[in-house]
Amino acid sequence: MSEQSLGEFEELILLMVATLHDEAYGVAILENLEAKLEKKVNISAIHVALKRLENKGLAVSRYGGITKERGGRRKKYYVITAMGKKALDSQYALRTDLYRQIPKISFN
Amino acid sequence: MSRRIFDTARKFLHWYCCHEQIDEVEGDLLELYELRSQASYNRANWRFAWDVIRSFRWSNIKKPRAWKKPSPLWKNYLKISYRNLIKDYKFSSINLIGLSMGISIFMIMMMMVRHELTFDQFHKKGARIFHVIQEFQTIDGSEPEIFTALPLADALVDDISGITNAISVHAAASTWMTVDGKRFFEEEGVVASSSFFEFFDFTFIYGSPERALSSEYSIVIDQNMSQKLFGKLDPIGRTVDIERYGLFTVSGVIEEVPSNSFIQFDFVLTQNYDTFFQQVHPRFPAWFQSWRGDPAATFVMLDKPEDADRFETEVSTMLAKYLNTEDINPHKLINLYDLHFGLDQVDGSINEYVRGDRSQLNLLILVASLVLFMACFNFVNLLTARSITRSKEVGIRKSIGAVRGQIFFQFMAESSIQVACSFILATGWILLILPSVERLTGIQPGLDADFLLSFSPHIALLFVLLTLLSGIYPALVISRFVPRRALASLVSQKHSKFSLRNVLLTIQYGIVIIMISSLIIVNRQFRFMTDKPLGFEVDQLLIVEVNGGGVRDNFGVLKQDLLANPKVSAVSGLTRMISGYRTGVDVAMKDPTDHERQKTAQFYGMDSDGIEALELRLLLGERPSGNRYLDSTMIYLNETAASWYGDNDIIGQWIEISDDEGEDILKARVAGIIEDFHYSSLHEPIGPVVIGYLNNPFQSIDDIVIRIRGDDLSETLAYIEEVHNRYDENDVMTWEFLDDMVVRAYKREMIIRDVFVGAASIAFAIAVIGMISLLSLTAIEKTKELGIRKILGANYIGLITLQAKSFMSFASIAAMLGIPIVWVLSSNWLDSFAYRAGFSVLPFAAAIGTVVLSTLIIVWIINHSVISRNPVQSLRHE
Repeated sequence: MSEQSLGEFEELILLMVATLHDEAYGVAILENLEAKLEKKVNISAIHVALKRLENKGLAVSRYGGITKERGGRRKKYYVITAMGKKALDSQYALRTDLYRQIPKISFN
Repeated sequence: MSRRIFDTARKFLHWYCCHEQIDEVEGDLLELYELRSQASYNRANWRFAWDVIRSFRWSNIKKPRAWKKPSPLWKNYLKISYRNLIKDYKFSSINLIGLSMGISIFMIMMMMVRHELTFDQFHKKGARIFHVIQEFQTIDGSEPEIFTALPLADALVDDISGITNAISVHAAASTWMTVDGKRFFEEEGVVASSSFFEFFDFTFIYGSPERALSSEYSIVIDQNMSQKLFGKLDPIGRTVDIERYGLFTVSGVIEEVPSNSFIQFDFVLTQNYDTFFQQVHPRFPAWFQSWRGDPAATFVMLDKPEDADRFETEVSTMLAKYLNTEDINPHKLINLYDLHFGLDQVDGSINEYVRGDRSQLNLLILVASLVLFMACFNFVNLLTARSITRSKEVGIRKSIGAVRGQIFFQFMAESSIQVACSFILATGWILLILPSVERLTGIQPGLDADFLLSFSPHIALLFVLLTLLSGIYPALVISRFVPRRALASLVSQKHSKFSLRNVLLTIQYGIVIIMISSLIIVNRQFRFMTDKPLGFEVDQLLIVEVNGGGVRDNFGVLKQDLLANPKVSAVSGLTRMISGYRTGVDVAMKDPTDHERQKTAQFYGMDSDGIEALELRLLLGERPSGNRYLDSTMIYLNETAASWYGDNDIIGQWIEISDDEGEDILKARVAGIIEDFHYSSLHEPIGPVVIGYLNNPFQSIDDIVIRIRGDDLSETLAYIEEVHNRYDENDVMTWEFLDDMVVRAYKREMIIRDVFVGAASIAFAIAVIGMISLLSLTAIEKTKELGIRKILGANYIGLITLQAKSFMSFASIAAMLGIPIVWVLSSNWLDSFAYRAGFSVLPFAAAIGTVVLSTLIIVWIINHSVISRNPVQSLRHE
């Protein structure tokens, strides 16, 4: 597990986890993501992505209290880890770096 | 409705979702559901169901405990077994190959056994179908034969109650078939009553069994023939012009007749004797269709199988009525399912078919079990031997806290993995070997699901047994080691002279000795049979069958044409070629003084050049004159026949010879006595033989023998064929060399020999593997001892012999046990031959020699490196 790869969708979810900080759980992520992306996302895809992020050590989870509207099920909250932050940073750095290298001429 | 969907979906979710994920998945889904149901209740229900289905993913699904958290110990076992396999990869691969080979050979042999045991079992009504056997009464006793009179079948149905139906079947003459101007020569056919397919269940591809033979000119062909004649198209309704029979319409296509069917054919014709007689047997019809004839096999279907008992008496009364005589051949019934082994003493077959032989089957089972036993035993032995070298590993495991149960389990796991590997390998071997077995034996044992299913409990049992046996020693004995002692010395705890392993090794040596010596005995007898001078010259003698009237009628001219070629040295016409698998005609020879005294003899007719062409040895008397009128009144007796007449005074006397029924009589002068020759297979003793002239009352010309000289066979053959076709354009010339023909009489022995050669060599190979394993173990155990001995001055040869000595004693014990067994078995088997190779010590000496030599070689190879290296290294060896 030398190099953590981060897929596009995973990156989006991790970004969402980071922005929602401490309030990030399945439905919240889904709603925010749908609002931002302006398209439908299936909840199961989010669950899978979250689990992968957790396995890779980019996010950690904890269970919240029992609420009534969830049929007695607890919420599973995710928080980004230092490693997750680093992964986002490097991804961001890579993209901006590449973006800067775009020659101006190509837009003309 | 939509609420129901919600409930079902939720139930499904609860069923599959694992404990770790349920809170997140169900919680989120329900929360979404609540949100959505504010907008639309129905849609929310459907969306919920959809989400449940989408969440049905690997990460959410319940898994067995072992999956979730692979036990580190379990992983460890696997890794250790794998490493052990790889470490001694030579031994592991030899061991695996040995066991898998043994298993696959065993399975293939079992398939062959099953093939034999399932003969004709595919006929569903078989329990009610019986074959009528006619017991001919001759001077020498009763001679059962499968052939009966043609009208018998119909008469049985009419006259005897309790018989549902009866059919008659006989072989069709090989003939040309013409389809759309193309000619094909077809050999294997039968002519059968219309209800043939109601009796026998052959699978129809086109047409139906009920109507297949209903019309007068119907032919049912098998798949291969259909492909050959008509290509891929449905041939129903197409016509085939069958030479000598007429125009037939294809009414059915069946799958190829299974090899485990006693009746073999490529096509079935309806019985239609008008054309048949006109073309084929112009002289036969009276005999063929009469009650006196015996051309066809008869099958009856009884209402109740129990009725078979009263059949015998009832049929005798019935026959007495039709034949107008009290002198009736008894008729017996044999059930269809018992035919394969029940026809052992019965003569005749419809088409070529090899009868079953119980003793051969038992031999097959015995050899198969031996091979399997050897393979298993070696496998167990080798694993046991190897495990001893691991006492140190066990010692360390135990000192860091492993309990006995864990070590037990580890060894068991290892052996089960090895057994599983060899089972998988065995499957590969079977698939690899099976085609050549099919080629060799001509049968298709068939690796079908049925067989595997019926055998799977045995395979499972074998698996468990092998795992337990090969794991039990290390699992029980080594796991009990006291860690301190196990670590201190590599060698197992105590040494006793009489160990289990030594006993097993002795048994193994014994089996090898049995295998090799019996192999040599079988081979010797076979060589004896093929090499034994038969009393006539076998080499370069070509036999051409006479199939058509053209050749029969013009034989004299044809003979002159053949002799015109310098490569042809002699030509003669025979009523029947002398050979092991076809017999001459039975005649009764009478005493000239006492007419009541008579003896059955084989009659062979040949023209004036016959004795010369076959190179029969004339002991006394005159050669044929060459004048056909003179020669047709002369006969020759073999020694056995002459001795029946008392002495050589019989020469010059006129004696009477009549056929079986005493109807046709030949009166001829004995012109000479011929040295006994083997006219039949060497299973049979030589009986009396009468050689008469080609034109005789009993049989007409059937074979032409041609003695050829020189090497260029193909050219001579082409010439002979051209001459043959000049006189018979309707038939393909069928020919064979006599030496091939002689061997054909020993088909059964050849199969036995092939099975034996295969099994014995595999058993031997496996035994060698076993010896390598045991000897190498001893070598490791004795590394230090050898080092010390070398320091004290032992030389190379001395050390090798020392190592080999203990094995020699096992070998000699094995020889003492094994040789008597072979002795008894082989003399039993040899008793079935009238002429057998004499006793020789060679087989036993060779077997013991092979065992001793191979042991020496193996000991030398294994110990060479230990002995030749510096003894310091040996002493340092742990």
